[in-house]
Amino acid sequence: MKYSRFIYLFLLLSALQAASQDTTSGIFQLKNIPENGVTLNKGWKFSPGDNPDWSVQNYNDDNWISIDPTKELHHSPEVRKSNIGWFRLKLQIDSSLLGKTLAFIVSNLGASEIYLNGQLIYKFGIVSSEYREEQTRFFSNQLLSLKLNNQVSQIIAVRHSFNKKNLYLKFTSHRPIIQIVLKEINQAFADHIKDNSFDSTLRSIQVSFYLPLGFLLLFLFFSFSMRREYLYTGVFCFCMFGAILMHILALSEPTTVSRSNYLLLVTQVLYIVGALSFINGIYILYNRKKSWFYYLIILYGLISLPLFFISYDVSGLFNACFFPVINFEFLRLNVQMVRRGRKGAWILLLTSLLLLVSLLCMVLLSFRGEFETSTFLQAISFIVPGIGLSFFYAGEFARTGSALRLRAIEVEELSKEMIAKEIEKQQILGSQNETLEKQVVERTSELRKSLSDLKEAEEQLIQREKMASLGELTAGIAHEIQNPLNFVNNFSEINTELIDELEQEVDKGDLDQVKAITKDIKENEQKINHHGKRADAIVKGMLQHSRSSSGVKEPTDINVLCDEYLRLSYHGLRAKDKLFNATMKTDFDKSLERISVLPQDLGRVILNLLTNAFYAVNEKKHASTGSAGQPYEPTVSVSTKKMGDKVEIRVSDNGNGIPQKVLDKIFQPFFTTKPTGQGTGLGLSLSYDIIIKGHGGELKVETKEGEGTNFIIILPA
Amino acid sequence: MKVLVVDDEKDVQVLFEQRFRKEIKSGEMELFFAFSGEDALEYMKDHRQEAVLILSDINMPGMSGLELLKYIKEKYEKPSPVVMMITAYGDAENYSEAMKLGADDFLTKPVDFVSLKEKLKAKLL
Repeated sequence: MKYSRFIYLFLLLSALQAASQDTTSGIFQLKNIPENGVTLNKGWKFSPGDNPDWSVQNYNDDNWISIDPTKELHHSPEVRKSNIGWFRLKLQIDSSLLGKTLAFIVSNLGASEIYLNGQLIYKFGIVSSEYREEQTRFFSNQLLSLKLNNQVSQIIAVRHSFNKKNLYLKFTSHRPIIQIVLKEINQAFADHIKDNSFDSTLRSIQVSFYLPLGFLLLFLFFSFSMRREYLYTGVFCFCMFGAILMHILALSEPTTVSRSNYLLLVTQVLYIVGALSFINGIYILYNRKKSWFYYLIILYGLISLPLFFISYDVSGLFNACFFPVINFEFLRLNVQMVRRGRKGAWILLLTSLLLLVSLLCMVLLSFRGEFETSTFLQAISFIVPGIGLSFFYAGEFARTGSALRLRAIEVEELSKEMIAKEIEKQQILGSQNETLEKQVVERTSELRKSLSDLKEAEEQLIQREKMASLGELTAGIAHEIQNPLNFVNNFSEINTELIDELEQEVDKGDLDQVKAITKDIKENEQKINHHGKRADAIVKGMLQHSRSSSGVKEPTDINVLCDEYLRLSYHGLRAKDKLFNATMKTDFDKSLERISVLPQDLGRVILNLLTNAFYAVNEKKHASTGSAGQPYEPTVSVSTKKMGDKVEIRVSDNGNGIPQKVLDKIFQPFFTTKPTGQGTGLGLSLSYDIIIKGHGGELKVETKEGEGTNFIIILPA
Repeated sequence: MKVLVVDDEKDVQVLFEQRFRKEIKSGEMELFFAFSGEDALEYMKDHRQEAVLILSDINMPGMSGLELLKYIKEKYEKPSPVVMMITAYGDAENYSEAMKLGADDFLTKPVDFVSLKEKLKAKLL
């Protein structure tokens, strides 16, 4: 029957049926047929067992149990207990109805054979006490036409079997064991067509509504997977679609009762899952924290399923209350969100209110027996949540769309601004680049200039160092040059005198005397020559020293070089400090051959080392003057030595040595221990460069504080 | 007159012998040579009071002429011999140092033998 789906009606019907139960009379008085028909729900008798005679009219069924077969199976335990049994109803017909053809609208659960006045008029399935042979049927509102005979008293007998092994579950829908409604034949057909078309229209609306909406929402979810409400409301739509489909299948004929029950069970599961999914979706949509009530609802849904197998009455009631409870929570959430000003929440609030109103109306209509209106309302309310969701989402999309449009305009304006700024930036950058380039050029030229200045300064410093060491030499050179000049002048004067004497002796004719004088003159001449050359060499040496290096290596006698500079430096120091004295020792390796060196440069190095050595011993001597203990004998020695393919020059002193803390600095430029103005600090640094870079040699230092220092030059031969 | 010439240059001997060859020939002068301060002291130890006049260079390796002068004037028995310094350095510093130490005269190189002879003759008188 079409009301069967009507969940809330169940409550009503249970109540109504309980109130109108009438089992006292064994005869159903049929006076007239109203437009809505007459339901044969009174005067029925039942007996378990099976006997073909029980169909006949005159069988005495007074001992049979009174029963109302329009009630559900679980309300008639005697039927459920017996595998097979018979229902009988005596009809007392008004004379106006005799011989009339009427419409029998039959609903049935189980296998049935319907007899009118002992004659089998219809079979539903195959009736049998054996489960294997039995074929049950479940259908509602099967339209049959029957012609009544002319007897006033007539009998309807139903042979009915429903084996215990068949699955039977109680759902919210009302399913009578046997229900026969009598109607005027024309009216019945008209109603049947109307009902059927109405029913199928409603179903197709429901089905066609939820299926595409479900697809749409799932598609949306896969596109925006962070919006999980799409998933849950989509699942809700699919559940609704599936439930409706299952329901249609469960009620479509022909179907066995078991199959129908299974399908209805699936329908229930889908309803519950759908409803839970819906409320979950709403929670997510509103971004609400799950309340205790939410978990209670889930628990409610989960409990209601096994209840179907445990208790028929409680499960139906329990199940029927599930949807009002869900709607209550839905309403509560909507009210909250509307208060909080959630955009579009009013649509869902309206939806929940509509559902509430329709729920109340349905209960009210059912009480008043206006089932068709109620059914219509129920069918409409069924799709209300879907419509509400659609409107809500549509509103949301519309808002998002317009927001996006605004945003797009904003973005466009922003990008225009950005482009303008970018161009400005580019221009600024361009001008900055130009400025930078100019600055770079300026800086580069400045740097170049300071570099050349530095080079110049370096040259000047080197020159200064040369001149400083030259200054140290000047005194020595002066002495060295005056000595040969002394000889040159005096020997030449002597020779002048001797020549005068020679002339006298020639006049005298004393040939022996002439020879002796000539010999003297000659010897003196040689002295003059020798000392002239000596002066020349000194001047040349001085010039060489101040000149920059020629850069050309010459084969040089290292021993001679060392000796020359030793004397120069000694006399230089001696000239400056009259009281200075030091012992000079030389130990030259006679086997040394000439090696290729830059003589001026190497000479400068040796001079520098010697000057330092003399300075060191002089310092120590000054410090030790007046102190007790062993007399200090300042000693500076120069030695050369051939070592395989190398030549070693060693300049040693017995001064104070070099303190460890300054030892690694002595080759650094401008490092000096001498008082300000006395040393340039370039001597050792230049020496190092000359030996390492200029000659590919080594310059090493060995020192012991308080005992002296050895500088060792190692040159490749 | 015995004269001791102290100089590290060997040619000084030849020069002096040639310059004073007339005086040597006539026996007016007798020349002795030492080539370092140490040599000079050695000679003087051996020939006590023989040298009446000493001509000494200043710049010499080892003992310098000034040291020699100082030694003679301080340590040598009186009357100390006449000491004349002959040096390539005629600067004031050298001169005053020599005079302070008691030098009897100060001559610069190149030596002007004409004036040297006059000075020697004056000393002899």
